[in-house]
Amino acid sequence: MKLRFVPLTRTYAIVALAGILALLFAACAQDVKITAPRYALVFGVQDYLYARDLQYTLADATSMSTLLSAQGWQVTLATDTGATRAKIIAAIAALGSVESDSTVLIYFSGHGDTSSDYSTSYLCPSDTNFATDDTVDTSTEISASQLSTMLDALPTSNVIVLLDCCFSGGSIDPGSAVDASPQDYYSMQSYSAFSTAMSQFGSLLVSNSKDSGKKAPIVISAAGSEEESYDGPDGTNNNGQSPVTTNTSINMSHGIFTYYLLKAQDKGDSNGDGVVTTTEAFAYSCEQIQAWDENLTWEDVNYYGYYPFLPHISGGVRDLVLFTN
Amino acid sequence: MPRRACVVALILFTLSFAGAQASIHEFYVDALVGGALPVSWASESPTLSHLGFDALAAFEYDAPFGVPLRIELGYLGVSASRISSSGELYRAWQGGRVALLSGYIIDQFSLGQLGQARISLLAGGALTAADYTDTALAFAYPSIVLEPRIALILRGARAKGIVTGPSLSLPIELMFRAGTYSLAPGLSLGWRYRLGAIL
Repeated sequence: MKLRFVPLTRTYAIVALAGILALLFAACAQDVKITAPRYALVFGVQDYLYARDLQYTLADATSMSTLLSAQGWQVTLATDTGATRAKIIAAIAALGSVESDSTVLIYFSGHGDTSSDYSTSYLCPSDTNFATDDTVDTSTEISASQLSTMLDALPTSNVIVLLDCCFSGGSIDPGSAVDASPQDYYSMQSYSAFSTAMSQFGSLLVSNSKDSGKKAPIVISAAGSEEESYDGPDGTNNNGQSPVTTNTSINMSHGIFTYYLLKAQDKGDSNGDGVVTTTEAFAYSCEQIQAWDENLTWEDVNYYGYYPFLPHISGGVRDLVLFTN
Repeated sequence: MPRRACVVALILFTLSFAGAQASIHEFYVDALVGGALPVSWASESPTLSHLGFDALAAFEYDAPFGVPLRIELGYLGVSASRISSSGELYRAWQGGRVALLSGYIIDQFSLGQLGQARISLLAGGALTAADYTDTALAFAYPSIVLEPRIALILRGARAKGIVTGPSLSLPIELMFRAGTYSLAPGLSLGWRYRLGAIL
């Protein structure tokens, strides 16, 4: 009896397991086809009217525009004098008639600014008034909250924001989650999301219960709210100096974040489903920039003032498709 | 949340009285692995399915009045969901989970020469600490669990005084994640160790 029962049980168990696994895979196998319209506003500011010009932001915007167009996005590209504060606001407002199931993408490459206590971050349009190196007329900039208000007014909640500028982490809304990666990665300290979840378990449960599930834009920033991002590995810093990191051998010809974000279209599909989501694009660019950070030399950091930085992504349960491949 | 907690407490209270028929007091340890097919939805968002798996260790005690009390400690991983036609999906997540369950031993009967079988229905709550996969975003959420189980103690499956046998459970978990709900029916298979009566 025992000799008969055991093999039969095993056979039934194996057949049942195989059936369940087949059902599960069949349920999740998917040929992804996005039919809803997708609109992109791409801004690049290289030639500032009242501030230090940048080196690769025009290339950033042009390449991003080309890639998104090839991906089926309906792209509006605005650069330099086409990306003044008034024109950026008008362009976003013009999206007020898009379909409710459409996806809207806003990309910005240019200068970023922050308040002295890092509590408010700003995008710097081409007509931003830098009175001196240290003071800016913030009324000529676009604050994170102003941008958020404009995006909330759109008919769709499928909104992606990609920011390649300094201090852009101030535009990140972690929602009910906590962003474990530091807003200033200067000391390259290690961090763990799971450890953070364990150590802040109680407060995270409270935040979770208060979350209304409101759909917030998915934002990827080049840097933390207290960090600068760099206009190419061979770009100059505020003192006109270039880093001596071995990574200058990579001919990026783009801002570092945008360079890896563009490459994510080809190399970022971590689960092989044929699409690159914002989370996958973030993960790929973050991993590559972390490797770039690790190659910064002592001179880069301590003499030239090139500090490590990391991209950040906003919280929430949702994700959106960014690229297909 | 308080309303959900009251519902769970009421279910456990009712099942505890029903379970008072049984009168065995034993201690068990389970090791289980399983798969699940979670489905997520939220207001104004599509309903989309994921794939999930978990591995857990459970400690179960037949408390006085024959009420099983069970603590589960486990790790779970859930893939990103399918993608809607608008390009929307739910993120993948992974985390550690602790669950506290109690309920009702529906039946316990002899399988003759084979051994014994026990069918039970457990219900309770779970708390999970997690992060969205490939991000640095940490979060936590509560859930409600309903878990029908069948466990066998095979005759002769005894080594060094510990009785062992296979077990199977069909857990259904409703997760409350930041304004989004995920319902995860699953199937877990494992091995049960009966450590013997302790009362």
